[in-house]
This record gives sequence, C-alpha cells and structure tokens, in this order.
Amino acid sequence: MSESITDKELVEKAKCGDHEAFKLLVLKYQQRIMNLVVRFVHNVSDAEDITQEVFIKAYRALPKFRGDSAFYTWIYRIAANTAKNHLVVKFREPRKFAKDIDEMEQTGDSDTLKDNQTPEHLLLRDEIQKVITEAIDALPESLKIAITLREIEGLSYKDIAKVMGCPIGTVRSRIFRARKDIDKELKPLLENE
Amino acid sequence: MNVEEYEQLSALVDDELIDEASSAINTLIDNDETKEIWYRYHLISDAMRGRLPESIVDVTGAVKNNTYSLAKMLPLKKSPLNFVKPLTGFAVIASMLVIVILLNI
Repeated sequence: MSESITDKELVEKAKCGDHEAFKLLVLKYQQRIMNLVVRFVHNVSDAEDITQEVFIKAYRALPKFRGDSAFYTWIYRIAANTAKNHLVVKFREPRKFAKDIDEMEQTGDSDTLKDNQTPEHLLLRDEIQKVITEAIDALPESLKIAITLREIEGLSYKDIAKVMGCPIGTVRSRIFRARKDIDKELKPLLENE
Repeated sequence: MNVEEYEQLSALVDDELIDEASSAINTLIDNDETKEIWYRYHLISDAMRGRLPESIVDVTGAVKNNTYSLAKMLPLKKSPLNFVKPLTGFAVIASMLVIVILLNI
C-alpha cells in the first residue's frame, strides 16, 4: 500500500503533539481497524476495547514511527498483534473467563455476551449500507460513474478523467457532488443514533 | 467554508490534493464541522468498499482522553528548554568546584 500524503502530514503533526491531527487519523481508520479486529476476536465488545487500545498504542509508539511503511500498514500490524495477544491471554486464562461469565450471569451484567453480534449492532451497519446504496442509485449517471470508479475500482482522478473523457477538475467536482448528495442522506441517520 | 474548500476536503479524502494539501489539512484541524464531514466521507468509502464492521465504532473520545494523559507523560514535542536542564546541572557543579578550589587557595 503506497503512503498517503495526507497521512504523512497528519502523522508529522501528531508527532509534534497535535492531538487534532491524530484524531483525524482515528476518524479515518477506526472502522477499518474495528473490522479487522472483530474478525480475529469474534466479539464486538472486546473488539471495541481492542480498537481503542490499538490507537492508544499507536499514539504511544508514534515517536518511533519512521515512515518506512505506510501509516495504515503500521497500525494494521499493531491491530493484528494486539488482537492476537488478546486471544493468547484469553485462552491462557480459561478459568478467569469462566468466572467472569459466571459473575456476569449472576449480576445480570452480561454486556460482553449481549454485545456479540446483537441485532442492534447489525441494524446500524445495515441501515448505513442501505442509505448509501439508495443514495448512490439516485445520483445522476455522471456522478454515479465518477464515485464508483473512485471507490469501487480505486482509480485515480487522472484515470477517471481518461475513462470519462473529461478534465481532472470535472472529475474532482463530480466526486465531491456525489459525496455531498450521499452525505445529505447519511447525516440524519447518524444524528439519530 | 465555501464550496471550493468543501471540494478540496473531498479531494483530500482521496489523497488527490498535492499543492493545497497543507492548507486543507489546517482547515480540517481547526474546524469541528469539517472533521465530521471527513468522518462521514470515510464512512461512505468504507461502506462502498465493504469494509464496515459489524458494529460502527467511535473511539475518538476515549482515544483523545488517553492521548491527552499520554501526552503529559510523554512529551512528544521536543522543547528547547529540555537542553537547558542538563546544562544548568553542569553549571552548578562547575561553579561549586570553582568555589572549592578558590577556598583551598
């Protein structure tokens, strides 16, 4: 994965103590990291805690990050290792986990059990997916093609311009207008949460 | 923010902003509304690429609190004053040595 210029700049700012720059990296990557971690641990509640831990570890290790690899590759590695360590500890202490589960059942505090793939969790994900798909379907053809070539095919603006036979500036404008229209539908859904 | 700046933000999400990247990043850092848009544009991207997790998370609050406390423990920014402290220590020891020598004379 090639290094993103934006990530590089955000990392440099974060290294100088700019928390807001680091927050932008968290906002950008948190779903992807969560998606990776949940596939390791198969538990939404644990995955949320681990995702949090991953970013805190990354922040702590930031001064040592020299940029030899892309920021995403680096944080992906931290996520995979943290998730693996979590599983090692979990299987090393089966008694402790059995006790935790007993306690949760007795006290009624069974968040860990409840949170594992509950319909509520899946509902928001599915709602977001549905709203975005419908918003894309409703886009004018030129905007739909531009955003699809960008997001699904991963083409650069230059390549999209070649495919669509228009200037790069037009591609940039079409992708922005597509996102703006999709966002108009997505924003109220997230505000209701 | 005007339309041009919003369009720049969208291009920044795609890493297609080169000359204007720094100024767009600074705008993004200073403005909470644009941070929300940044978040939602990446969410759209993740959804379109099938990368949404089972549970949509928002760990920014918890991470921010922790990074604030971490920053206090581990100052990431190198302060020029950090160089002064060891020098001050040496200066004190050196001046004490001079006094001892002078007293012996």
